[in-house]
Amino acid sequence: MDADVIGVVSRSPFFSMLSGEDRARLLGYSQARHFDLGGTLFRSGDPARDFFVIASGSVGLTAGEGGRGEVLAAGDLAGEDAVFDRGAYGVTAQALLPVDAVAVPAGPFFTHMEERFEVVLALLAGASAGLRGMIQEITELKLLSTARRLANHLAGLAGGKTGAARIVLPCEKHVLAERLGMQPESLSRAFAKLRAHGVTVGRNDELLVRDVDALRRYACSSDLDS
Amino acid sequence: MNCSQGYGRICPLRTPTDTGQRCRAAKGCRRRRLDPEQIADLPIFERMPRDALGDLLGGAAVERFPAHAMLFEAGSPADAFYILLSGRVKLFALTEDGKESIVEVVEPVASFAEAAMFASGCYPVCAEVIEEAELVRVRAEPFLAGLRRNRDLAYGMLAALSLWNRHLKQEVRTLREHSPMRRVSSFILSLAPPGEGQAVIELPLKKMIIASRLGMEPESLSRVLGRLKEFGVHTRGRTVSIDDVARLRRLCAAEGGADAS
Repeated sequence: MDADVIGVVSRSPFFSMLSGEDRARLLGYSQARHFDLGGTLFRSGDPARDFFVIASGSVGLTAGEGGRGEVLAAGDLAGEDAVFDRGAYGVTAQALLPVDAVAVPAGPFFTHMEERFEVVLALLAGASAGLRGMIQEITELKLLSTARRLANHLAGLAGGKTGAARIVLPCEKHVLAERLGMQPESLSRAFAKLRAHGVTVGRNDELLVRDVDALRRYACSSDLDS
Repeated sequence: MNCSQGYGRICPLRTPTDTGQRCRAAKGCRRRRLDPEQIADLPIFERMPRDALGDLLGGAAVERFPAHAMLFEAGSPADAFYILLSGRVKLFALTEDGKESIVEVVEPVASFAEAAMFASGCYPVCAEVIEEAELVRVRAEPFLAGLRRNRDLAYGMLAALSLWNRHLKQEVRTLREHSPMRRVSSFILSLAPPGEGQAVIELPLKKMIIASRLGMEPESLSRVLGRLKEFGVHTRGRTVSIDDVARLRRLCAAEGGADAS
């Protein structure tokens, strides 16, 4: 198997907690597969005999003809939920770009898991850590809008000033958090985020803004393309 | 177990509340049995039959913790995971100079620290109650023994986690890649019937909540909904009428990185 392909399996969060030995065994009974543009990895309703780790390209999952689908990219898995269910695929997977993938066959995979409970635990750990990481990332992305709300409020407090400014917060931070409709922790994190935009917290809740105009621009920029 | 000494130093300020202190610390502390129904919707238990879940948790109790109770500290062995039923818990690391860096604020109902528990490793962060909380502490040993005896339960958990991973990954991509205009139209389209022509839908959530799910400010959501009028999407209260679903779908496909907020 190609070294690049092996690298993708090793980096996939799902397999990240597997021991080197178990990863090597998994790769031993897996196969490298190539799919041309439009090729079908599996069809909805077929028994789930393999799942795939996508090494390159792009795979579309659709529940039915012309339905809204999900798009998978390198590092993602396809069909593993159906394999764990030991049922049939619930979606159809097609190559939206030419795809290189590793096919992990269900039979040897289950034998591996039955023989070594460590593998089950490592997969559970990898999958839960992945989930936690994504929940954090989603929170992080949404926090961007919190930081903008705070920036907007501070720019308002600076009045018509331009350039560098010193702002004294008119109320305590928890009151400010309430006013801005945030949790106090979100406010602290928003302040931390604004450090990158030239806002530093001095003594007695005094704020130093390096450039009020820049802060105003940041506050007005769109939601997520910072 | 090889727990890094470094982690121990990260969390030197407080000692974790042990089992004995836990109840004494809380005023009017009560323990009650956990109703599996309360946690059956958690990603890891989603596919699990209720009776199997009850067996696996083996009469786990719900305990009340006061604010500031320390649940665990970074570097200590992960011998349990937690389920938060009410209140709030923060997960944080302490930096070298003793400042807290909050990794996450856990909101109910959610499980946490299960990854560390499955890995039989150490907790990577500290956990402290910030708002009086009802928690279930699930001990690793009987839980993992139960899974070892009944692998099907473990496979069911893996299937559920796989689907959740996929859905959240999609949500992250949507947040990262799409303009507010496209995010809102995709959301409306996801509620609309397939096909073409006119459609009237009811928003299933309050606008505040929709805005937060889509990662935007309520004001931005209102602005985008206003702008969608040009494209034949009219919103009144929670009722949205779409003149032509196919047209909205085309707009959604065309809206790449353009910004509408």
